[in-house]
Amino acid sequence: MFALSKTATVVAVLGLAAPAQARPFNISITMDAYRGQEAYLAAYIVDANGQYVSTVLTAGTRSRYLADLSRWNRMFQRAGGRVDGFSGASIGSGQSIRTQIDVPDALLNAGYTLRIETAVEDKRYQPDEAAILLGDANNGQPVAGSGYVRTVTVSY
Amino acid sequence: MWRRLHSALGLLALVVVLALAVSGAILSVYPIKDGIAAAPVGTGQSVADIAGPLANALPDIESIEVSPSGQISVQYSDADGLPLSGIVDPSSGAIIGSSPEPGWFYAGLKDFHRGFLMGDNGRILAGVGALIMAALSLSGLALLVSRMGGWRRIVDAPRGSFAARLHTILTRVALLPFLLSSVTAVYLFAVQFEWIMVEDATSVAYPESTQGLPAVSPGTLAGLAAVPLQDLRSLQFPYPGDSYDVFTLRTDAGLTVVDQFTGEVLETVPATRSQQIYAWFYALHTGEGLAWVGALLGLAATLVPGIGAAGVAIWWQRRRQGGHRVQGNIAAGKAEIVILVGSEGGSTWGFARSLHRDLTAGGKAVHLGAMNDFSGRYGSAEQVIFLTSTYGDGNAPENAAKALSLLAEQVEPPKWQYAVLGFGDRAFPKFCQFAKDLDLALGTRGWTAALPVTLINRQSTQAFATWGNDLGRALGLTLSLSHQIATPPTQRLTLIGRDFYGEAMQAPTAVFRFRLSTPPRTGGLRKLMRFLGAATCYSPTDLLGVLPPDGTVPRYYSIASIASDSEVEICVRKQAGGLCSTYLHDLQIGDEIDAFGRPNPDFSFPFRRKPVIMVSAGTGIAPFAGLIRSNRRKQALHLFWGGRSAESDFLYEDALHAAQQSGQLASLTTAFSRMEAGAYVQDRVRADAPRVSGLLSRGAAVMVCGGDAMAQAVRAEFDVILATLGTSVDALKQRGLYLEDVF
Repeated sequence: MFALSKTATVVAVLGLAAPAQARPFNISITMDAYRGQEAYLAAYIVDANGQYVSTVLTAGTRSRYLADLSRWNRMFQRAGGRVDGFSGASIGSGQSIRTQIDVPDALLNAGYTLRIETAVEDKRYQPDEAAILLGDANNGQPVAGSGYVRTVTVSY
Repeated sequence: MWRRLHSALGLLALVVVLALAVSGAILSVYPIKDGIAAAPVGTGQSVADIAGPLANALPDIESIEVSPSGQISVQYSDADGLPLSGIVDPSSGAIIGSSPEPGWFYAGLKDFHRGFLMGDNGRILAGVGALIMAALSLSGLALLVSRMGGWRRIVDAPRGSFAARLHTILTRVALLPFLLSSVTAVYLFAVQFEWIMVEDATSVAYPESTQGLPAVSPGTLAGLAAVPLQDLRSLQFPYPGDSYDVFTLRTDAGLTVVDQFTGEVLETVPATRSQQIYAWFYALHTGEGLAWVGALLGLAATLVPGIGAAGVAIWWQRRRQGGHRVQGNIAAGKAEIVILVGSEGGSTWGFARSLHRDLTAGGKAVHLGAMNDFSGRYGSAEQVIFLTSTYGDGNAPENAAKALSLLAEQVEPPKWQYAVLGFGDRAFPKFCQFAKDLDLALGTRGWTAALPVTLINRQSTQAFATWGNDLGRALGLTLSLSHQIATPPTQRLTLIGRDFYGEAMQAPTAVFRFRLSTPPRTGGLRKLMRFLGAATCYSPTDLLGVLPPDGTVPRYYSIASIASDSEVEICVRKQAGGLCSTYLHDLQIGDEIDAFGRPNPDFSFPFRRKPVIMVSAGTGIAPFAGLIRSNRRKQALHLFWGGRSAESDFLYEDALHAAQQSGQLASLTTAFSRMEAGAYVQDRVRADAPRVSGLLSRGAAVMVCGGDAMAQAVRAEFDVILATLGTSVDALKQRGLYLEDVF
């Protein structure tokens, strides 16, 4: 399988006070070989009640289309985020993207979830592309996406 | 200037523009299809009317979307969490079908149209293509106006070769749609690359819904009930189980956030001006929601291949004629002598180039240009010399159409002298009329003549040389003008048959049949070459140029044979003292001549299915004989023909009767002047006025071929008949429905 690897920068700092204990998280997302335009993608963390905590990654070259990730967009904007001027790496069919963030230990094994949404032009928006409970059980385990994502792997 | 820009841009962007147009034309079908498929929305319905039933039926509903064509779809997940879409019946709110994603063909075609499947680089290419398309439309409009001689004459029948007329006719239809398509495309391209900013209503606060209230059906929410369904673009439902989440409702007017429990409007963000503009441009370009505009643009786009091919053909024809490029041409502002040319067919350019060459050799700084380019800014000029032919009934030729109005803008009499040399044919009543009018206009404006106006008959090189001597004296230099009339490459024709008529009437006339040494190419390639002007034409209404034994000025005869023959047939009446006609009449079977084919664009058969009235006398029957023979579609052709005597000079008698039998000729009316109760062809037209009038009122075109006296008499008869229909020969001529080939 042809796969292009990209390293994306962290686009948002976790919205928590500077943690005493944190560790680097590697997040790696590989897209399916879907037929269509480049994807728009948001990866963000929600707490055990489903409340928005922070965005860790967006992908897609034109910020105006990020608003099409409507479930994420509502949470993100309600928390005071603005998509204007955002620009992420482009990610298309078969490609992959990688990022590293610092995650406080307090979020591990505590019901926090990394959630991923994707949208592709003229194709069905995927509000529940993937959800990975942050904890030892999923460390290094590839999780399959339900739409345009083949796998998401979180390791630390 | 416009022409150069136009052809350079056209050639440069041909492939890109063609690809954009063809893909755009196919894409324009989709909004029409969607518009037909969409069920109409009732006027009394609100968003709540449809949101309620859908939410009850689908616990995991995400959103309702309304496409620009009015189709309503719902996005939801099934019990297994599988994301699905369905088409909604607006009257009941029930799902009536699944809503598939657009097919791979549509998606691929759209991607191709926007960027040739090459990502952002391809998008830039397409954007440049759109920009060039806009520039082509504008420069084309400028050319069209100048070619037709002003805005008011823009709808007149076009002149020139088949390719030129086709280009003009198609462009007139498609110009506005092209401008609309290309300007909107450039805008969309600029938005895509964020050169034009569209301020999306992305900065929305999304307040939280009120907490601690019981769940309610969206059908009861005031905020949704207040919005008519036909205004809806999309409604996003709160995510199931997220009590903080809200309804997000979009219309053309903007975005509204509604509390999921109280139904209260929490926030309203009106659409920005730039968003509204974007929506309009998007709809105008894609036809989404404006299917009739899309259909119009799509139909116009289908004409692009034809327009492009004709445009290339025109460019190629001009190139073959050597264009109007002149070696060692001095800029107009620096020239001592300015030569301005008015030419319809191009032969006057040949004389002008010779003049330019010989004056330059005499040490003068000379500028050569078209009369339409007259500017008056000739700072160093001592003489301005006009060489012009006359078009039709005393009118300006094509590239001098604006000359008189440009001269009128020149208020002060200039410091330079002028000379006018007219080219024409004494057989016409308005011989060199435009040259005379020009001379008169210049004289009245106070210009000083270096020489009296001189008129040259039938491209006489001797007369040209004599005028050159006079001009040389006026300029104080020895000028011996020599001009070799360029003839196209000739080919050898062998005489294989001849039929003599009219000897008893002292008017020997013969039909000559020649075999071509190289038979014309057949099939599609030949048609293409002919279209490009690269192949010789031997079709009816085209002309055969015959070089007389002295090899100087060719004489032209109408071709009477059909295009696919490897033979050429012409009719020639022996003229007393006529060099070429005597030469032809003295030929023996097997003798060879040098000749070439030349198109006769101003006398080409009108491409339409309506009847054609053909009027001719004597050898003027030749083009009609060819047209009748090739009339396999059995178009209604009505021939009036005049001769001297039915016994002696009834040209093509048997062939015409046979054509009547087979239906290729609808009617034949003859007049013989030297018989008892003799009559001319115009008398027959008059006597047949009711029938002729009937044909004309059904849109018949008229073609007249023959001598000048006869053509004038026929014109008078038609004017009388047309007056009863409230029109005139001139009006028909403007529409290209009254064509004359006069000799």
